[in-house]
Amino acid sequence: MARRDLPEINAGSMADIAFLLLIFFLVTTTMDVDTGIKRKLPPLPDETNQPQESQMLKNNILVIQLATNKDVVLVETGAEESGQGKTLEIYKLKQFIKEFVDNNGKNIHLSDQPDKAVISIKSSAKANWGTFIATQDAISAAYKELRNAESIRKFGQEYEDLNEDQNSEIKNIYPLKLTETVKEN
Amino acid sequence: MSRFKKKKGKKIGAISTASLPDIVFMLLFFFMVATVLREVDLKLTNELPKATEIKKLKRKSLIMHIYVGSGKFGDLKGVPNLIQLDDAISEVKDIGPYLEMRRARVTAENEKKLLTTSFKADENAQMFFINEIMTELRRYSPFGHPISYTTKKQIE
Repeated sequence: MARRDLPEINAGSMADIAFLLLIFFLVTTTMDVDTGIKRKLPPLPDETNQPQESQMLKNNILVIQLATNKDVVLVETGAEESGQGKTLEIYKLKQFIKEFVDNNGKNIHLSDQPDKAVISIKSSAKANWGTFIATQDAISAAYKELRNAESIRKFGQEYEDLNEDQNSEIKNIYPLKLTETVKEN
Repeated sequence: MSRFKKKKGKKIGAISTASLPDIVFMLLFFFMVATVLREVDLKLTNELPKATEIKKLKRKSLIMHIYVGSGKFGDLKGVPNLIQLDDAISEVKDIGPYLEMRRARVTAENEKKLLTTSFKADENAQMFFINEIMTELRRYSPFGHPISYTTKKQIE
């Protein structure tokens, strides 16, 4: 029996089908990736590892207090009397942190050395998350600029372009030591 | 003279559309691969704060989400300080079990500690409540816990 030739399937509508799918995926696509400020939460302290804040010189601790006011924070270095801190607008915070960390003992109220500097965020119970993020952002920005400057001075490269060894070397010069506490009331 | 006859009468052939499906398919595959279908229905208001010093989160399988905000619908409308885990409004005490459950789902043993929380809190959420959540996360993470305070990008 002679086989009949199969008629060719018309592929003209293939494009239409593909277009339909394409439009569906175009509409449903959300290409935003989560972005955020990265931190690491420490485990809860127990009897064996109590915080050792008392051993540190007080001028090495920068206390940033957050209250309900969104635009200002209260900064205080430990060398000053408690409650004697000054209010600072959030947009000036980055500059202040840079001065505090990169002080190298020039001002006795600020840190002795970048790797001894500790930043402590103390928020009141009613403070907003937005204020906290703005503060964290300022801290990150300050450290990024300090590390970048050191990296260019030392290796002639931006901090982000460094290899792993160089990166950790810079990180050891400017380690970010941060504590976050919330007052309970 | 006839050698320089003008080509006036000659028609341009129709453009072949045979490769059109190929082009469309290529675009289609790109979008199929790039697509992330929205994974949860948000039951909270979630206006993220803005920041500049942000980094992208990679490895979707190693990310768990915690949403914090005030209720959007029904009885919970306007109730401040609520948590959403996956699709359900939850309580602070649910966070620990949820974290353990997500950690158990990571198969590679050395990647368990890389499980990162994408912490999506509304900018008006209050710190005392955030603190309760953080304490809970820390309680269930004896070796520390990577976290990303999720924000939007600040446009200068």
